[in-house]
Amino acid sequence: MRDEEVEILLVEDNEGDLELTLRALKKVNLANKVLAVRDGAEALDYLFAPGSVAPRVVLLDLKLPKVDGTEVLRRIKSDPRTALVPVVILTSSAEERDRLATYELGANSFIVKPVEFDSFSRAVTEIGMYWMLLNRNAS
Amino acid sequence: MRHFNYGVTYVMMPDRAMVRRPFSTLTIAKKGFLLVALPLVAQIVFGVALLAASRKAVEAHARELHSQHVLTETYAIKTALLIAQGSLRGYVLTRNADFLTDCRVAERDVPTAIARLSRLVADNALQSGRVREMAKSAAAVLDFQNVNANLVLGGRRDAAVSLVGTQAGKRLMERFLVPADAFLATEQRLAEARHAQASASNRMAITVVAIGFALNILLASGLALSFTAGINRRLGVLTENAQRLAAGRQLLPPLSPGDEIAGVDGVFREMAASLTKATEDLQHANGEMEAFSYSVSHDLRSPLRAIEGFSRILVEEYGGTLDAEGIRILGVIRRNTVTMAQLIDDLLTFSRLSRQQIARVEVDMRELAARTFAEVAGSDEHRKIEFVLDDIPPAKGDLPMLRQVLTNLLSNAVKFSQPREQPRIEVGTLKNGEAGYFVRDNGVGFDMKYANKLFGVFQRLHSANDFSGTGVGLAIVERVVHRHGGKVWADSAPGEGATFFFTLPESGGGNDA
Repeated sequence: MRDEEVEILLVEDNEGDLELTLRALKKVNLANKVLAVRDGAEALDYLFAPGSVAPRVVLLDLKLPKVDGTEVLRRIKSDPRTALVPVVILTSSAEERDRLATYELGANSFIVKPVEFDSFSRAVTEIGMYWMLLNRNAS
Repeated sequence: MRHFNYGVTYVMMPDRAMVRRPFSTLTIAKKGFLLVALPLVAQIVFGVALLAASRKAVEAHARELHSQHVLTETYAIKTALLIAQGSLRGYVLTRNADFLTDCRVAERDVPTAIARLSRLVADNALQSGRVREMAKSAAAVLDFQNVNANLVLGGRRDAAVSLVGTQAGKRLMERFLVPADAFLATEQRLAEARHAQASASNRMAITVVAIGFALNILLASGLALSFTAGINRRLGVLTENAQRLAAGRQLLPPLSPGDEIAGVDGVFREMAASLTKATEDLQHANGEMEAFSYSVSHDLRSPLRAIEGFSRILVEEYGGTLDAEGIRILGVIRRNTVTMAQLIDDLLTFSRLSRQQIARVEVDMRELAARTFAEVAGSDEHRKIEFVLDDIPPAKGDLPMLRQVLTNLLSNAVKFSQPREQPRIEVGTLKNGEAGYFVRDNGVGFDMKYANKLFGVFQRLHSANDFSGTGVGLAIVERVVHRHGGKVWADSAPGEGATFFFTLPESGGGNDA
């Protein structure tokens, strides 16, 4: 998948959530441009690898192994190469302090993953459609 | 979260406790004793001095009086002799016997007077010598007068006249007058000196009184001032420390030990230290609790989402190979999963409300109730509800928490009045003058004998088949109201609707549980 153009970088460590997210994106034909990584370190490795092309959107979980989502967000937003990449926080936690902290770091959206599959599916596809089809990025 | 940090470190000062300050290190009781005792001792010292000064003055006065007495006596002798001399001449001239009376008086009184005078000046050798001379010459004068008088009586008046003419009487009198005048002059000087001494002693006594009085006032007021100033300063440290403790600031350096205030200060410091410890423990526990809640909120939901999601996918993609019972069972699984997720959310809300600091602001309860009702009754099926919003006063409280209270009470009201033909929900204020509110519905109500279970976590009075819900809503309401220092209660009967009351005291201390 590395050779193709990556449009969505999905950072998710939970198997179930990962599969459900990919299924939802598949429904709106967005699954083929997704690169899924399993922790924060992998995400940073991908984003800051020499010659890598920035994705059009990053879907970022907060609670991640190795480097957590908040730190990944901070690194993305503080590096000129990636600062303009939209980052959507996609998390299970409805904690207010997470929401405030990530918005302060420059998150573009904060979505709490619904438990119900219908709502979850709708949320993921809407995110995908919005960032891939409706939104026009800065770069 | 306010951070407490007191009693653990102090600003180090030059070691004041080691500097020897005798008065300030005494106990208040001892200082109080000294406050009374020191002026008393000074009073006694001044009293003794005054006594000595006045005794001296009395003695000086006595000596002065003595001199006056001597002078008076001497003048009396001198006068008596001179009168007698004059009278004798009168007798010689006229032979009128009346003149002799003065001579007889002098003869009788002068010797005894001189004897008295001799005793009065016995301690003075010079004056005693003069008195002896005066005694001799006075006797001679009296003898001469006697001889003269006898000549006249014996009919020899001529001889008496010529005797007077010899001026022998005058010479005898001069022999008396010379020592007498010298005696008088000396005694006069003595009297003056003694008078001066008596005046000086008087002035001394007055000076002692004045100085003693002034010093005593200075001593007493100085002691009182230093006593009260010292106590005020030390009490001031206690007050300041109490304020610092309340504000979470560092305490002042400890008071120099020795008195009761330093004792209180020490106990206060121990208290502050244990409070710091307790606060730190509590913060630690809170931190752990928060981390735990964070994990719960994050990690418990993912598996639920997987169970729900894959059950759904199973129905959607493999529904064809399942019979109706299989699909129903998957439905049961999914419903329970959603309920579980709701339970987790409610528990987290409940736990967060217990830990969160209350930020009191003025809350327009009428507007909040109106908006909250619009949210909970938002879907079409609730549009038929008659919502009565009385003119309720604003409250002082934490806005998100109060919104949670109204959300829970109003959504309960909506839920339980739903079976009614004409659902009616009323929000009003307490009529007894207390700062409080009520939410009333005409729903299915409940039996008051179960009222004690209303506000418990996971306590439900209706079966899940009749009404949905996790049983945490009213527990949240109670927790928020308690944390605002208020109380919450309900009134209902089966089929008669229910009313939930809650109070929000203006300055509620809050029961931080």
